[in-house]
Amino acid sequence: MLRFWPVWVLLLGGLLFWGLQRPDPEVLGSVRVGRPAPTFSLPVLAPYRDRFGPELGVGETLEKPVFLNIWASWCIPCRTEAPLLESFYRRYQDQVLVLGVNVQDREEEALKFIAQYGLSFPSVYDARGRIGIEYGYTGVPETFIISKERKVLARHIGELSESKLQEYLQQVRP
Amino acid sequence: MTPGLLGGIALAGALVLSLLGLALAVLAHTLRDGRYLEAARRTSLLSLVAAATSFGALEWAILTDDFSVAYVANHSASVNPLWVKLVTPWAALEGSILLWALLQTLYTWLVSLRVGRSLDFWRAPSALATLFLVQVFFFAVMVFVAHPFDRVPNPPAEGLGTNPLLQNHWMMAVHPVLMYLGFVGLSVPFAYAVAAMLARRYQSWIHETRWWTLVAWGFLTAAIFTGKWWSYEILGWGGYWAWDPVENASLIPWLLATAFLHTAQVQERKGLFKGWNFAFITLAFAATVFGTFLTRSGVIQSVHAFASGPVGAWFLAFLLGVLALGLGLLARVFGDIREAGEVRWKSREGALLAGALFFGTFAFVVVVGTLWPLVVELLSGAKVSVGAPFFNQVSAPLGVFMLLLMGIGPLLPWRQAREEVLKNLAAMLTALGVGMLIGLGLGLSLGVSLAIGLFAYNLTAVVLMVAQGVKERSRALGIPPSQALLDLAASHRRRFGSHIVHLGVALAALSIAFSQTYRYTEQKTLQIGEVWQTRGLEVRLLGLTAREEANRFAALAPIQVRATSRDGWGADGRYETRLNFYPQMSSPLATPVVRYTLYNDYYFVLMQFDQERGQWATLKIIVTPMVLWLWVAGALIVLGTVYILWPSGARLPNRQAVPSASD
Repeated sequence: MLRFWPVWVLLLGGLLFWGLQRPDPEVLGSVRVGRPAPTFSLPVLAPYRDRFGPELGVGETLEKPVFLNIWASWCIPCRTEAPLLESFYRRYQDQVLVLGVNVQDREEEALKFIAQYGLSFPSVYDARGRIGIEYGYTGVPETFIISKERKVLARHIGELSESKLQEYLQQVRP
Repeated sequence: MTPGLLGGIALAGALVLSLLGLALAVLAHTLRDGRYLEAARRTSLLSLVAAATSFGALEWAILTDDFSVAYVANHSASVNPLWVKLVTPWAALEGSILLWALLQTLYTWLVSLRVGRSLDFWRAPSALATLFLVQVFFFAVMVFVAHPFDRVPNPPAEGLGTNPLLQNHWMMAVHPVLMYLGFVGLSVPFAYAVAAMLARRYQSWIHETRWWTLVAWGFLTAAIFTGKWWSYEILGWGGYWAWDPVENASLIPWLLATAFLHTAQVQERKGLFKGWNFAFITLAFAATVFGTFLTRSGVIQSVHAFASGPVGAWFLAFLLGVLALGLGLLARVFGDIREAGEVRWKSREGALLAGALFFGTFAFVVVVGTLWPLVVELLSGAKVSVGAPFFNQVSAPLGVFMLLLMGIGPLLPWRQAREEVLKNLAAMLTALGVGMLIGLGLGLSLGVSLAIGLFAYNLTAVVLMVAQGVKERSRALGIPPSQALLDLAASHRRRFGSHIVHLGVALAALSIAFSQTYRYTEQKTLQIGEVWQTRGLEVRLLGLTAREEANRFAALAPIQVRATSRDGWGADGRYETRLNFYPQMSSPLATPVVRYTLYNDYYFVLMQFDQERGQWATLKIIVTPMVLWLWVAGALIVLGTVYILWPSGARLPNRQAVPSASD
């Protein structure tokens, strides 16, 4: 092991150097912005199955614009964002669908989180990280704004604010 | 003379002095000439003075609101309270590197005082050269890429202000300084290790290095616990550890230094594990640089990240340099330090090695978890994040293993286990079983019951060890047991200090188990005057008021809380929840009010309020059991460390000391 120390050091250095070269995700827009949103369908978390069926996702055609919110119960900013999204959804659910995607999480923790904040917008459970590969999110929370025509209009990294939500709402309105 | 000019000159002077010190130390090493060594020694004091002058100039600029200095214009404001101004030097990138460099010069100077005493002439030049090299790096970073005294051509009338998250709590004055003292402190053991490997003197370095490592370790421990408490107090989610990359970055060097503190004892007593010790120290110091790289490069996203700048590449090069120096030297001397004997696992040294390997493994897991998103992105292009669930899952079993080992390890004699150990072990396992059964009998979860059992197990171990020593001494000398206990505590500091530290760790584990398992959160919107009945509590919203403060605007929602059952024990009182609005921030910052009790912590957060008519407010309550004990545990661990380090005339490590008979 020790004899090969230059290899280990170079591997680590290569990885971190490559990491440094990446464009900053907060500065550059996602490659997905302006392009069609990838379709997917994932199991709906228990509390929403009666209303939304067993699976939900982004299909070929959409009824409404979608605010795709990626969250996890252990994520701190998601906790401040949850009540905000909830009140937004209550006001505008006839115009947009807020769809939560719970990632990197345990299902029971996710359910606790939902119960705690009384979230009425549906969330799906992405145990295998499918969304991560297709959408390329960088962390939680992150929100993709998808138009009725299934085009990604914007990608919001980090916590949303009331004013940002209003701004995105204007973008998706016909 | 303006502060900017003075600071810039002092900074350049510090760089030149560090280069000079490096050159002198290298000359002393190659020519074996004591005069160069003496000159290098004196240079260290001059570089400390230069660094302190530069740091003082930055404080001067901030205190006098000199916005012609870019750092002050970007990170301070004239309306900031005095204490915020005093801590602003480490509120952003350039200033924090300056503080770092200042502490580095301080440590270098302290080491220079040891030259000719514990630090012999074979090792002193290379140890000083290593420390000067580290200094050169930090001052060069400041002079060339992150200059704290860059000027603003047209100074603004007012600065942009300090990051609100950092001025929301007085911990800002404490936690970062402790963290830097710990991080920078690990450079000294690294320098000692480099010197020992260069001089091919593998035994004489270990005693004093253990002392220095313990100093740095004590600061790191204090920093980690104060950081937990800070995030608990202000982040408003009721937790204290989120496995954020930067939290991990502070944990990795801590784990590796802990590993070293355990294997170093074996080398001191038995001359074993030399290779491990060099490796642990190199990796511990490299981990501090790795942590700094993570916070300042933007490679991995984190709540702690400083605005990323060009310094990332510099820190990366430094990290690789440290690793190459330490591991390269170790590979070179590895043939010399092969272990002579075999390690018996059922002995003190076996337990210490097992403990160290555990800490090493834990550190490795944390490194992998932290870097994993980067690896996946490199290999597949996918963005993933490794979150708390992963770390919690791996750390729980590792923690149980550690607590088991921690109890039995110190009871094992060196070399070979003896009969009476089995008797002690039986007593400890009984305590473990009884503790678990009590937990289960009270209806607690299996994990929490196990934590109770493990606490009882470790408590028993310490009591047994102390009691046996006291009994032997009081019988042999015919003195009362209380006198024997005092004698032993005074003469066996290392042993007693480590008991205190171990008890602190066991208590911390107990507190973590309780608080992670039984946290209870509820949120509700209340009209003014409305009463909210929630588990064991009755909460009444008394009103909503606003208050203008110098650097912020605050919305206040006073509440009256009454306990209605045992679940709300100790919560009674009137509390003022608040949201702080800072001009620099678009969204308000919640400041939780925490009622600490020995049983539950009650945590009240104002989430939202009626901004138009002031009729309602949304409150969140988090009730977490036993959190207070985590801070007690942190204090115990630090106290134990101080107890070990406290100078007691006779035991000053002036010389390569004789290992004491006790440990």
